[in-house]
Amino acid sequence: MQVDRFRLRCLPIDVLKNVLRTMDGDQLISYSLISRTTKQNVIDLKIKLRSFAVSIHSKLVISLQIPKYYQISLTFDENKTMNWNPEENEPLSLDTPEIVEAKCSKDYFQGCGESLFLENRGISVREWILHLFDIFRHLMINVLHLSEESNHFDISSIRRMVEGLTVNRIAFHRLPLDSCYKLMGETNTFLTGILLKSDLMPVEYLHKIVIQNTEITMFHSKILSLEERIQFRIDDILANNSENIFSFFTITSYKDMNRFLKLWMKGSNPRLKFMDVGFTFGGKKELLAIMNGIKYRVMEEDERRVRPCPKDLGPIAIAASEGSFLIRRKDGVEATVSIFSRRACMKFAVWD
Amino acid sequence: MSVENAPVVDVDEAAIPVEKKMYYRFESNDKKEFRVSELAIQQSETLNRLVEAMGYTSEDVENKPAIAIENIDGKTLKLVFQWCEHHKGEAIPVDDGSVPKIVEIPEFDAKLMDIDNGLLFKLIWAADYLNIVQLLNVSCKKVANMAQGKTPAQLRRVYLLPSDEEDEAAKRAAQEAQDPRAREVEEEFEERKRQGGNSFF
Repeated sequence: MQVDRFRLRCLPIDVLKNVLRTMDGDQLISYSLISRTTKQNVIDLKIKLRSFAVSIHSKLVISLQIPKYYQISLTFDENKTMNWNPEENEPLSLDTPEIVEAKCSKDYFQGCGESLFLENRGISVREWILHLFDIFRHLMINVLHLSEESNHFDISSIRRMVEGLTVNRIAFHRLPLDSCYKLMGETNTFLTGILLKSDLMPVEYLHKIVIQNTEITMFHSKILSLEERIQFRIDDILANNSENIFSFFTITSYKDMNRFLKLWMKGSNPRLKFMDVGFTFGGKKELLAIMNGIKYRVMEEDERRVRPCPKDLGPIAIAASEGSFLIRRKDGVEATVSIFSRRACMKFAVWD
Repeated sequence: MSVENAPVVDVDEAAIPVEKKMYYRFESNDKKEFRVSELAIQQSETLNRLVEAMGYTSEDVENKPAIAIENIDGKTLKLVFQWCEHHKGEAIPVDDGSVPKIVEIPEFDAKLMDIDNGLLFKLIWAADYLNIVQLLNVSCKKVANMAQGKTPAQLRRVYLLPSDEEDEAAKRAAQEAQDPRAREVEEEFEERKRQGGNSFF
């Protein structure tokens, strides 16, 4: 069949740019792979990504989110990973997938359009990531999700894929403990944050994992986020060395929190900058037990402290205002304790 | 000279205020003449400024020569003015610089652009030259749609894009064309190498 051709490069540069701007995301990625010039054309569009996520489950998916709900997703080698059986098959490698399925959605709530299947000519997943970093001028993987069935993949290939890259957060979803543990060991050198979301792990093992991990990643771990369904104890927080701790649906007591504050005043968790702990609500009157035996000052009506939230944790600022408790560590560093009875959470912010 | 006396598309007289009921005459580079309503001209920033600067009255339009558009042919200009007449009175979109730019092609525009790629190429050039923002958007989107479902190799063929090697060869050729002496020096160098000389200087 005769292919109708179009002399794209003969268009004025601004018009060429306009053509590229109206292309769908998957088409744009395909275009960027033609030559160095076409890659540069895409770089020149200065597309800003809102997030760059890598999810590994039975297959590997890179999701690129552009503001206003626009999403591009690249699925690597789906066919090869189907019907994988741990008894019969070797661990899968992520090195050079054969097919890359690209699709995009203008509004990811509405689902994706038709897929574009790209034959992969020996380009590794890592090279794909670097290519996408280049064309979208993005510097990091915002989140690396490892979910059920990601243990089909050879862990060292996951490490090779992300080694030397900045991974802002790693999230485990419903993975067996030993897989989490091995993955933590492999990924600790690049890790800057951890997010655990699993109801599969017994509490005592979770405690062990977090402590182990934070010991290994003492200088890398910036954010420890423990999401819903985790039963987490204040002891684990005391054993942690992260700068920011988010812990929701915590099974703890006000007494534990009180103990934590007293220990902080004596010098524990010196790196801690901010902690948001959600807890099981036990009644408004008991809430004040959190401050029992602690020397504090209640912040006054016109008193307010604000600072931006840590990078990548959202737009909401860290703030303390009227009614928050102001406490002081033995070296003079101040912290505020804000207790929200309606949301059943305590926000602890260090102001140094 | 071939003259198209009638407007390109029927005009809804009632929809146009009396004071706006004015036509201008334009001539393409192959001497085809078009009468276009003032309201339709507003879609083109270039033409709109031109007619404003000229300050023509209705008599001037009839008595003076048609305004020449020297770098667009009649076939292309006909499409341009058909588009302008159909979309007259519509707001001109403001480009917010977003990428990807979401553009939908209306049915009328899709039919209008059901043309060969050579003519589409000319239409885009014309829309760019005449600064017709929305026509440029839809025509660019039409070109972008050619990429749907295409792999890089297919795209290279559709858009006639050179490979890295071809790009480099073209760059070298351009450099040599700029400086013929460079080629002579290179040839002399190759000749000396063949003769066994180990130093050029």
